[in-house]
Amino acid sequence: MVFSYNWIKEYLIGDVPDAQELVDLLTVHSFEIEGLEEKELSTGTKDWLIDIDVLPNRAHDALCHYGMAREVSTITGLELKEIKTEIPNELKPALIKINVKEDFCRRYIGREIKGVKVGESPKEIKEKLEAIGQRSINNIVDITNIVMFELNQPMHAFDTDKFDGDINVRFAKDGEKIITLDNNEVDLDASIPLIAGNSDPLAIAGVKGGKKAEVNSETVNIILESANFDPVLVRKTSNKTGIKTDSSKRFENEITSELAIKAIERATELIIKYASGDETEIYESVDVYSNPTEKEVIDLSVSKTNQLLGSELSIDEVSDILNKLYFSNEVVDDDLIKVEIPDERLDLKLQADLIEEVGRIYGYDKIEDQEIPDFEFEAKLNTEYGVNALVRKTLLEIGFSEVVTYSFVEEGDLRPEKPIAEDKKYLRKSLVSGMQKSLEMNQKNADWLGVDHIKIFEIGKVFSGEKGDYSEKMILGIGSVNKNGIKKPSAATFKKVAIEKLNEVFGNNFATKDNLENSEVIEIDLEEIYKNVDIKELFEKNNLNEGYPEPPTIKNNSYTNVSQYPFVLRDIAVWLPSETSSDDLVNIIKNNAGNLLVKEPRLFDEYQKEDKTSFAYRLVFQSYEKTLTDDEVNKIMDSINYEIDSKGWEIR
Amino acid sequence: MSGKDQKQNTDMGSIHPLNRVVSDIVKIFSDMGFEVATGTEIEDEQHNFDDLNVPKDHPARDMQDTFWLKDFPGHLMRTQTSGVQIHYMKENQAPLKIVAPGKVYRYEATDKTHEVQFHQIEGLVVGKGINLGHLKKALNTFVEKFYGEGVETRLRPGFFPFVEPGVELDMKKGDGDWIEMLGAGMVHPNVLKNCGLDPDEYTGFAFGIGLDRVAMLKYGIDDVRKFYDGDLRMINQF
Repeated sequence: MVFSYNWIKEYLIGDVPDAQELVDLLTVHSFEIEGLEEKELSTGTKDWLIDIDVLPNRAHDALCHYGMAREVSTITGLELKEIKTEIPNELKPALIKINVKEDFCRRYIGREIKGVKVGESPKEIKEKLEAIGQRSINNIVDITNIVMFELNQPMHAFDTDKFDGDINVRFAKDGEKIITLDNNEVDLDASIPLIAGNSDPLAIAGVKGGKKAEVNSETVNIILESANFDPVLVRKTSNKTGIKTDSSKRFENEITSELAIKAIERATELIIKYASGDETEIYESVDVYSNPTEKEVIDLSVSKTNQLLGSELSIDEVSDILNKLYFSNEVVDDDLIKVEIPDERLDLKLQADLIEEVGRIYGYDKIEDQEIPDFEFEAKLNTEYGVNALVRKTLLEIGFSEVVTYSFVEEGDLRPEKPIAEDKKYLRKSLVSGMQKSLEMNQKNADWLGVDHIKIFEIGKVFSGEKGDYSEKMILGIGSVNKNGIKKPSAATFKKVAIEKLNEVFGNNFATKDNLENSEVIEIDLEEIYKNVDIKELFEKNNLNEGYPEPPTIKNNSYTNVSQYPFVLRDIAVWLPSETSSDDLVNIIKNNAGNLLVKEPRLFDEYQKEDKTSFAYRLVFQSYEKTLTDDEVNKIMDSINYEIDSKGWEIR
Repeated sequence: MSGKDQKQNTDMGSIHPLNRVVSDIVKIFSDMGFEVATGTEIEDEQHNFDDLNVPKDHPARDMQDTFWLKDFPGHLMRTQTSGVQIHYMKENQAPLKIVAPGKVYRYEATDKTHEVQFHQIEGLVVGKGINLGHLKKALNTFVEKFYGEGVETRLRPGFFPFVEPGVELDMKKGDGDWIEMLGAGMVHPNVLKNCGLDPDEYTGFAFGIGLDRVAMLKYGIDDVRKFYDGDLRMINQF
């Protein structure tokens, strides 16, 4: 959620750190910060927008500016202002009836206000809304939104002259419809919770208001709603209708019912301040609250706290941190503190939750690294991981490279309920299609790669089955193809060598059902190998005394991007006098080609005749910016040829 | 480079960069006495979510968008390798010290930094008296061995339903920015209970490392999708 720095500051007394400093403090003690941006509002006021990632555990209390100010107070030690609401004493007795017919409504407070003056919001409200990216609608609607972003309590206002009867909280009937405030017609059914008049739906409870009782410039009389709804039902309703709002987000994360009363008083106060006149009449609120929330008390042991955090905090230090967090607490003896949990902190249920609070406010940086104590646990070798590692080592050593392809493919048995793409509808039941795509691509790039044979393998899971039964197997796929025009050795040879080599290393039968001569990719069921192998013996036999085999030495520590543009090939063959090194020739080629030569020139032919040697190189040209033309490459070749000529070497 | 060197270079195949990273990390933790644990990629709701203290119909589940398996109610493509740890704890009880590497799946739109499949390695230590200081030591040892010395780290609060406290580890090289590395924390008492362990007797720590991200950062790979298209122009660089 985007927070306004100015708005947070309103609730704090003293010198609030600047926005950057505040963000740094929040990062190490409280929340992840997604962004910080200075913004000049349309009124000319400057503000900082802080995008704070409030996760579900803190959405109960900190998805609002007052909650965030409380957090800032905790981590800075600055005093937090109390929000005191002042409402005139002479309220009129309530006339409305509120009928809560279902349990999903945990609390419903309604208040009638007659004779409101609907109009534009004042600057201080507009600025707040603009800062956090909300549209100003009119003073009444804006006030309900301001209170939500201040206190975390979603609110709503209904125009009482636009519907008949009482407020009824009920489920919709099949076939009922509602037109939402943004003019969408939504079909309702008996699973959807509503706020309704005596006949018409007025709002989807906790999710979205309806057009029917919309507050607009003609509105004179309203009912303010401050309610609390079951989180799971709001979540389901929001998913079902596809409507996600700032209100539904707060309810589905759950907020305390205790907020409702604070919010309605606050909204009333703001309406008196910004939207009332001489004619305005405020009524007493009607509060339907059948199961009031009880105060939670959690016992916190200081020794347990230190045991889990690896800290050495004293009971006074712990109690002091709890005070900073505004958690009332009572030190019972030299280890135990009874902690009263603030209503809004629904995330705090266990001692461990409190220990986290103590730890993060104390500061994780103050906790010392400690060696893990020795305990009775001996790590065994894992057969699956070990076999895979040895298969990998064996194949790498005979020139196969490893690919990892997609588990989602076009065809198979099993599939996810919602596929991510048309061509990724199924779970693969074989590695073949993914590996074939890889072989095909690499065959086209054989010259770029500088190889005559493409040899790859993949170790991965495949999935099959139907009707109540599925199986998942680890498979080894081995694939090879030759570069176009290369006949010998045949591609099948490499697969044969691979199988022989694996059998030699494992002393096991690496069997494949696939035809070695005709299949580009052959598959081997590794589950069979796992069953038949004793991993310890296998490693001993292969002199792997240190444990799992390690990968070969890395060739490059950083990756060079591959151009997306096509490459162009040229061959060059030159007779060099025997006293001349081929490096001199390579240097000429490289100097003239510059960075358009993407690969080291590949020597593909070399032979000696009398006192001279012929070197033939294949050159791969490619640009990162465009498709190279023949002309451009020919010019480079001309300059290479010219320089070779001038050395007196003979080009073949 | 002479022709001979080049030939040697092509004699040896290239390990996929993700599996190189897995091997390197497994080695680091094996040296610290961790055992490797493996498991299935199709998992049930119980082991992927419920036992991990991620309640049904709760916004915390949205943090991991899920591929549910058609015709197999309650079955899904695992969104994390944590299920492996649940199985291991249930079968072996404590003490234990394991790492679980593997492929995981999330239902999300793909772009340069998001894929529907990616790789993780998760670690779990459960024993008597395990604390946050032990977690810090294990993670700092990993960072130092994997990225080399001179890398600064910091722990900050994070939220994962299966740990309490939950933390994230950031690292920084020289004057660079802090980079998010991994999530971790002390095993949530409910998770221990769900696996038949008494949280008054045992505590533990857990961590999860996104391997695709780690490999991208380490080698300077700019697009996660490049790991999965089988292109040797990329793989053979390593």
